[in-house]
Amino acid sequence: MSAWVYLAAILGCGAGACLRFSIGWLDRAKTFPWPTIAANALGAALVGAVMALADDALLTPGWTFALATGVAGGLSTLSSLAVDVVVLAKDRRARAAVAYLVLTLTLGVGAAWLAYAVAASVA
Amino acid sequence: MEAFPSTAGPVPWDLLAVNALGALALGFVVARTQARGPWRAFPAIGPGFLGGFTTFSAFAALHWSTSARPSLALAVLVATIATGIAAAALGWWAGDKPPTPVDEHAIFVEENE
Repeated sequence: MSAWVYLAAILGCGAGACLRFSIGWLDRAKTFPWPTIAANALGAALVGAVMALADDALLTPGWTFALATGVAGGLSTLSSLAVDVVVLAKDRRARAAVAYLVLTLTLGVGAAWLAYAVAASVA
Repeated sequence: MEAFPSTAGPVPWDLLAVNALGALALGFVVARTQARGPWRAFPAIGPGFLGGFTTFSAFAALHWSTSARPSLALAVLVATIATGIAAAALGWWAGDKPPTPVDEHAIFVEENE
């Protein structure tokens, strides 16, 4: 892959992170980190869809890298997830922490599965 | 940014290490910001750089992006999250000097400025 692919992935990662920030601005209450759940599910869906298209050779390896590693990598985050769980646990909101983890896991894997299935059937 | 395209085998050890490191660093800077007061560079370094540094999507879609069996992909995802939480707790402990009560609302606001 050429240097342009890496440049595209870097810019894509920035765009993904901007999108994650924008989702956060929609949340006014700031009591439960649902924007991170949404950003992670969206990122997982993007990787699922990109992989389905790449399997059918509809995306070049360069585009696959820029979209999956770059955009989806910047959009999704594990560090915020981990810190938010620690914060909820320290605040003795055990149920909220468990709900956060279960929602992230189920929506993340579910979104990847659904996006792969939809993209594979369209492709 | 995870600039490592692939590793041998279905388990992405490099991404696991990157995630643990990012969670450790974010735990540290969030706790430190809480204990020591606002820090102008926080949004860029915290949710910006470290948020982009770590990834969830690569793990959630592991079964579809690699040849990993569903059970292995799920195990890797759970292990990644568990490692990240442990790393974040460790980073928090290191950065929480002097120990400060958690202001949950302020943290959620700060993480999304």
